[in-house]
Amino acid sequence: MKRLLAILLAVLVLGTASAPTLAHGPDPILTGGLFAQNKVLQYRWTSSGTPPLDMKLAIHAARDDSNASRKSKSPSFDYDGGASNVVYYGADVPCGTNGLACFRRDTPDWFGLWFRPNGTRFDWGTLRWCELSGAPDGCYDAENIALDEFGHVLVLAHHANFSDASDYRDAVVQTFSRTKPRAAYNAHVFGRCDVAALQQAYDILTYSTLHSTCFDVPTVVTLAVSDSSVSSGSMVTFTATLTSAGDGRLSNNPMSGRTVVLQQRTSTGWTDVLTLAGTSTAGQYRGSLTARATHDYRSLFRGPSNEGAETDGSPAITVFVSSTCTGTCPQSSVSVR
Amino acid sequence: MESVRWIRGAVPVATLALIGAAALARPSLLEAADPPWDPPSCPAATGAPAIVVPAWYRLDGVVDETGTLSGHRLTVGALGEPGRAIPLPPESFATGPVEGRVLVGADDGSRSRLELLNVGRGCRTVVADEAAVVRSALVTPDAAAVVEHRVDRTSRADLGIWRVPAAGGPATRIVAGIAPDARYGPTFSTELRWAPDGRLAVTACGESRCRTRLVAVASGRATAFGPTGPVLGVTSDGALIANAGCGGFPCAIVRREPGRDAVVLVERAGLATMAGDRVVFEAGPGRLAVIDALTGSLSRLDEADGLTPVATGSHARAGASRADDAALLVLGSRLDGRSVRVLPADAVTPTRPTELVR
Repeated sequence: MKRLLAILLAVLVLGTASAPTLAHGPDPILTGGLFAQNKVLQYRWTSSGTPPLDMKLAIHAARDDSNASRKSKSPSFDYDGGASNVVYYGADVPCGTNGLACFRRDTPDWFGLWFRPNGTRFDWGTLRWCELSGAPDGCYDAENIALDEFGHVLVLAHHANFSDASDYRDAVVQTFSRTKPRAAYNAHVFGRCDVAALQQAYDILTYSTLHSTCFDVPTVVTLAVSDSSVSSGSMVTFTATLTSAGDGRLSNNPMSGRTVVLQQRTSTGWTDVLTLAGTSTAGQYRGSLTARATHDYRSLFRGPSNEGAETDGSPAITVFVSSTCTGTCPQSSVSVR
Repeated sequence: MESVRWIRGAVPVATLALIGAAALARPSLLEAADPPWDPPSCPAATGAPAIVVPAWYRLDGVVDETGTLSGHRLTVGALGEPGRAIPLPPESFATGPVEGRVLVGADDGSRSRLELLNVGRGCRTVVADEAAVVRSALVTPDAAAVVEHRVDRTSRADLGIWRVPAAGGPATRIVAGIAPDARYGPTFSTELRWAPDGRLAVTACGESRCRTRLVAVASGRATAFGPTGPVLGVTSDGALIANAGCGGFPCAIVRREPGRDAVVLVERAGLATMAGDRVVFEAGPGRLAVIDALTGSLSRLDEADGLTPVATGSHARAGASRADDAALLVLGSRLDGRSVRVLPADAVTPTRPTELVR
């Protein structure tokens, strides 16, 4: 009863369940908690509502779409005839009189999906699943709708679009779906704002997984040097680390597979002198050069256009070089170990 | 630590009932216990007292081998007794019962026909025969008329809400159809409900968001609410009670008043139904709770194991005779004459409905 009372709030201002969020932000997330990271959620067809073959194939395809495009440690889905989670196809959908399909999520263990049958009458007309009806204009793509439902199961609420819906492609999990042949009616991968919400909720899939461009995750890059006081002609090794500095699960993650450069201060500013190479340690980058003169150095991560990660530069460090040459010393030469 | 779980996978048979009552255990074919029935027309009124038998109904979809909805099966009966089944086309509905009569709408592709099925007398009376598609309808509280929602047969444009006298006569439009709104998308369903003050709640839902007009039947004057999710009912002080628009469960139950922000009554709820000012909802596996939508007072229901709230409204899939302020519940996976339960006003223990109906 204590738990019951705890989850029932008598009169609070409506919160995240229906509050709109800015477009191009990550999808809102549903209340009700999360499944375990990378959990495999198995499902089966219900005996009283087994989908026709082409619908089964569409739902399985959506399962694969979700697994391949989640780019996060959100659960994956798989079919197992003995699973406790269920997928139903038929007329008796419990979630209201509207909608094409609906879900029920019972973290940390259970979910269910319900799909209305081909031929269901709505105010606007007759539901045609593209996969079951020869794909006429006006049909709904079942694979797209199933991907939307799998997204709900994971935790995603409906994306908030711009008023002109110009950002519709940013999410599959939409307030209302499109029919053939409208753009994105058959989107089969999570949109970038679906992915952003999954990454926030569950963390990125691996340290080399790119952050969604739907948000901008702060980063922190550091730089260390093997010896900050050397004689001219000595080899100096620079080691940088790159980590995320976002909120929650996106904080302090090593970021591998990115481009981190070593820069040297000149009279006109900073100049790239070396691209540091990734090491076997996640988020670590390293390179060496032969020092000929005293310079300031820093490492720099430039937020790339294909990732929602912000640019960051390390504090400068000075490598002091004691002169051993006479006259004009040669320029620093660079080599990478 | 107690986890909040709506359904426990380890015991699926016992818990499937929690998923949505009728959803998972529904055979699509007629059963021997529900023989097909073609009730005759009711004879003209004789002036004798009307026979009112407490009744129930359930509407099941029938899906053919291609996965296409081929029709519905309406099963009706007296409370406590098995039912008889009537086949209906894919575009059909049923509501009630009101005074022992179930309102049935069926569209054959060219006409929509509304009939009142008198369960006690075992006969039917045609109420309306329309060229437009009647999507759903309700009997008025005084049983003198029906209100129906129509769409254009060709364009499916919303033609508004109409009042049709039960004894025959011309239909009059109560309120025009609602204008399209890109924020909601195409209208999937329009649900009708009576408010305690006699106004009609007309809820037009897009794929996930709904907007409601609370309409004075006599004047057509409307008060608008939205957006919400599917609506549960209207309180005695005129507030709308609805889901938050989650597209699934669990979902918040909110209270909306015109011109004000929604407030959350329940943060996480499963299936829910409303009677009077009380909302009965699934609060966890095998647990039902009731909240007073005026005061926020919350109680857990006793002896609720295996019970599921039954949704109301003009698209309700099942119904049963009961007092107006009694919430409808079902024991097990499907509503029939023996599985009906009700929660009387002010009670926290569900009961059989026989002693409560008029």
